[in-house]
This record gives sequence, C-alpha cells and structure tokens, in this order.
Amino acid sequence: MSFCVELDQVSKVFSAGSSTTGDLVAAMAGNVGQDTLAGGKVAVDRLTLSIAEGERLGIVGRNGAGKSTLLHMIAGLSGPTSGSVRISGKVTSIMTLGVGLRDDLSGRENIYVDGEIQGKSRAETDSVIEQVIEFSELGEFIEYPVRTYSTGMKARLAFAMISHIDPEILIIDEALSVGDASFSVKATARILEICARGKIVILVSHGMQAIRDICNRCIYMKDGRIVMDGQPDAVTRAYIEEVREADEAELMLKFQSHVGSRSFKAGSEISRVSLFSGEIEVNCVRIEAGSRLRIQIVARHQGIAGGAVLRVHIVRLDDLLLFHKDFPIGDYVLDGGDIGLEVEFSPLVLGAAIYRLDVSLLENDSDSCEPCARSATIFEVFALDPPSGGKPMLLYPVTGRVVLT
Amino acid sequence: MFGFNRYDVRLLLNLFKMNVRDRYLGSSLGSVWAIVNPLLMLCIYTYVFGFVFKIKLPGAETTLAYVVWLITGYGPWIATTEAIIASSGSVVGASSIVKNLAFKTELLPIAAALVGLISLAVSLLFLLILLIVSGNTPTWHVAFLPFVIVLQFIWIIALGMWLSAITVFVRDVMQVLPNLLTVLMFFTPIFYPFDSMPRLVQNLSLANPFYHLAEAYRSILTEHQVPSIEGMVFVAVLSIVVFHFGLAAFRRAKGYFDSAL
Repeated sequence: MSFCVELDQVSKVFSAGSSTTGDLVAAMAGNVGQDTLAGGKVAVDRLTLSIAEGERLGIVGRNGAGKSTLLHMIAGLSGPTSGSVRISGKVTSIMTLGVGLRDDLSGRENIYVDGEIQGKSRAETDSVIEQVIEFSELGEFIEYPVRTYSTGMKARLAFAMISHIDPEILIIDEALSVGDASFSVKATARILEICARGKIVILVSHGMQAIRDICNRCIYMKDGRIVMDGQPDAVTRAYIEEVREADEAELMLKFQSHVGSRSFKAGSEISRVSLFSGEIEVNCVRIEAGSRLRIQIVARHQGIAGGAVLRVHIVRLDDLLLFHKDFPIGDYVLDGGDIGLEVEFSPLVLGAAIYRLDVSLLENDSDSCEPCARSATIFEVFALDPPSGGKPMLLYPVTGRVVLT
Repeated sequence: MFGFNRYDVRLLLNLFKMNVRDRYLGSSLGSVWAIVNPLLMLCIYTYVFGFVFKIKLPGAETTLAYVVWLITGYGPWIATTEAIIASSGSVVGASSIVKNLAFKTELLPIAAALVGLISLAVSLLFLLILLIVSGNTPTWHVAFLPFVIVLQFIWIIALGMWLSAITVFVRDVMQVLPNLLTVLMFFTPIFYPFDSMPRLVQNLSLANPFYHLAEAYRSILTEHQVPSIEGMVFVAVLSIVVFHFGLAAFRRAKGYFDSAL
C-alpha cells in the first residue's frame, strides 16, 4: 500500500455569528454552503495539495494563516466546509502534549490511560511501558500521582508517551520543546528519529531550523492559501524575508513617537541616520544578532573647530544604556563642511530586543552639556535561534575549533 | 456493522473503562458510591410512596409488594437517567481528546451510556434480594432479562447519539436534561400503575419506549410473564431507526466539533 494525502479544493469557513443553534442545524444537515456561512471567517481557501510517500512537509506562515486548520483537517479532527480530503494510511497526530492526563492517577497508570485513548490493548502498552518510563527520566516519581508533578515533569511524561509511536502518517503541530535543556535535546533528537520512520510527515512550526532539519518540502501559507511550495531552504528564507519586511513596517509604526530628528540650535542639525546590516547594504531596522551593523550619520554644525562631539547612545526601550561613545566631529568633516560619521559594529553583540539609537550633537563632551541637535531611530535585533531560558542582553559570539595537539 | 470494526470495539472498551474509572474511582470512597447512590434514591422513593402516601397495588395487601413493584420500574430508570445524562455530555466532557486525537468520536456517547450498566446491576442485585425476601422468587422468565437490557441500552445509545452531538453546539441541553427526564419519569408508569393514569396519558404511553421497557422488567420479575412481544418489537424498531439517523447526523456534525468545543 502506498501512502498519500490528497486535498482537492479544500475550504474551511468558521462561522462568525454567535448563533450556535444555526451552526448545529447547518452541521447536522451537512449542507454548509457558502450562503449558510456567508460572512464567516475563511481559514483555508480552496487549497489543493498532494503529499506523496516519503515526503516530509513543513508548513510555515504567520499566525492565522490557516496552518493549524489545515492540519486539523488532514488529521481528521475537523471536516472541510467544501472540497475533499483523501488520505491513505493511518494518521497519528500530535497537537498538544499531555492530553487526558489524569491528575489523581500515578504516572504509570496515566501511561495506560494514554494507551487506552490511543486504542491500544493492555499488552501493547505493557510492551513499551518500561521504555516510556525510562525515557521520561521520572524514576520513582512514576508511581506518584501526577498532581504532585512539576510542570516540567508533566511535560516529560507527556512527551515520553509519544516517544514510542510508530507512525505511518505523522502530523505534528508546533514545536515540541519540553523540560530542561538536556531533556529538550533528547526530545528533539527523538522527534527527528520518529519523523525519519514516518512514511509521511507534516510539521507546522515557527522554528525555521526544525523545518530545515526535518523536512524535504515546505509550503508557505498566507490567508488560507499556499503562496510558495518548494525546498525548505528556499521557502523558509522567503518566508523570513517577508515576515521581516512586515515586522519592520509594524515596528516603525508602533514606535513612531520615539523616532525623529530635532534641532535645538540654529545651524546645527543631524540630517541623516541610516543603518546598514550584513553584507548587502540595505536600509533596515531589523538586524540579525551577530551580524555586522554600520551606522551612517550625516550632520551639520556651526563652528566645527570647537570641541563639539557626536554622541552615540544605544538604549534598550526600558532606558537601559548599553552603548555610549563620543566622536569628536573635527575628525569626520567632509569636503562640503558636513560631518559624515560611520560607526561599525562587527559583529553586533546585542541580544534580541528592541533598541533606540540616539545620536546627539553636543558642544563639548561633558555630561551636563545640552544638545544642539538630536536624532532617534528604533531598531530591532533578532536572533534566528534564540537561546531558551531567557533573553540575554548580549549575544556571545562563540566558535568551536578542533584542538591541535 | 454501522461502520465500526474490531479496533473500534477495543477502543470502546477502553473508553468504557476510562469512564468507569473517572466516575467512580476519582472520589475517595470510589466504588462505594456506585452502590450507595442508587440505593439511596431507591430508599427515598420507597419511603415516600410506600410509607407516606401508602400506595397499594390493586389486588395486593402489603406495602412490600408495592416496594418490589416500584423498584422493578425505578431501578432500571435510575440507570436510564444516568446513562442518558452521561451519554449527552460525553463529547463535551472529552473535548480535550476530541480536539487533539483523531478517533471515532461516535464511540464516546456509546461508552458513556454503558456506564449505566453498573447502576443497573446494583439495582437488580438489590431487587433480587428483595424478591427472595418477599417470597416472590424469580422464575425461568429472567432468561428474557438480558434481552430487555440490550434493548434498553440500544434505545439509550440512540438518544445519546443525538443528544451528545446537539450538546456540543447547544450546551443548554445539559441544564434542561435532568429536569426533562424527571418530567418524563412521571409520565411513565413507574411510581403508579398504568391503569391509574389519565386516559390521555395512557394512550400516549403506548408510544413511549420507556413505558414498554418498564413493563417488560415488571412482567419478567414480578409477574413472571413473557414480556409483551409487540412492545419489544416497537422499542427495537424505534431504537434502530433513531440510532441510524442519529449516527448519520453525528458523523456529519463531528467535522464541526472542533470549532464549537
């Protein structure tokens, strides 16, 4: 038997109205057409997709793009409003971990309950239970009621329960990182292993690395449609690019009040502050952590000869000063009398967050000096694989090397 | 049959086990309540109707005869009530697994209804003791009992199929249902004989499957007769028709469960 998933012109419309009775009548009658649910929210829009055996499909897209709805329909958790879904093979879906954990029962009993929900016989569960317990690393706690567990322990138990599935068609929604660092590594490795065994894998994740590691095909969904379908590398890159552009626009809009240039003294002004990131010289406000950042400042000031300085501050939005440096303007005078300063951070070691870049023009470098002109810009530093367990203020560029003995 | 296979039977058993555990093993006295609850209700109604209202059956002199007669009808009714309520709430109650696992959700109302078998067993056991004490030892007619129990539960499951799917969209069902069942109980000859009901209700009762089921229990256990064949055929046909359409409606509606849960 060959495994496949075929979707033909599949749509899913969620009714927007509050009339649950209407939903009931529509659902029972089974004739939910466009007219019955007019004005409803279209989550998936006439989507056609076919997945063949051996394909490991990643689905990327922003929140509300219809990824999960699509996944639910493939998993058989909900039916399409129109169109047809054809699946050959047994579908195993992992949407949420720890479904049906019974607080009053011990960890061991819960493993049996989980087996029962999955439709396994007692003997089938018996054959894997020791492996599951070992994987969960719960030790003696496995005999204690689950209500005594910490969140991390519950997550470990829940993950261990799915660690021995033998899927034909496997559907995974969102990242499954659980527990402490070492367990998380183990869990990720196991997910890769399970995926390798699956005949067809469909994965929705916001972690681009997970998609690139696991998948050999990737689709990009937007407003319920597939806008791109191809190699994971190309699709994830295109997706990140689009997301970045959209995020930048949003960021500028949100922090508009912080942005701007003002002059306090006639003849003094900061006319341009531009940010350049990476090798390609694109003006942008989102910068990848660890990349190269160049800041170009163009200013004008009366009486260049004095001790005036350009002061560059990088401030986190909670007003924490992270970078402070004064540049005597005398060193950066251009031919036309303008001041042109380029500051380069190579690499930029700031951690992922939003920052404000303050440039001020001062008569001298004393702290009490009032600025003659000031300019502020907002930029965001993002990390592709942010470290788990907190938001470090700085990014530590670390490289590994073979020891030469 | 009806689109179910061998694996579904196993899953049904698993779900049944889970329901029993959730219902009876969660509380500290656990299974004790499974026995105490129906007994308590039986005692109260016996007291009220047997000793306060002093109802006597036509032709019988003792109150004990009435008590036995009452329990033959009311015991199975408790099981019916429990099963219908459990079945109706089964899909909503299992929303976390319905939303996360692909399985035949139509097994949920069936598994939940079957939990009523436990309270039925308790009632019948209690009744058996009473029958022996009152000198009215059951005869070979009890051979019909399993047949009546099967019919009763097919009918309950048929209703549960509809109600559980409707409850997903209209949660009010769970609020109304207990009262509705109480009303139904008083329109079914459970506390008083068929003959003492108004003419109109008598006629309506002929279309009431619960009436036929109660009569069947009484024929077998207290009157030592073969239950009315017409009545049983009526219940069987009605159950299968209601179940068939209920299952079809449930299967159409289940695609929309995840947006309503």
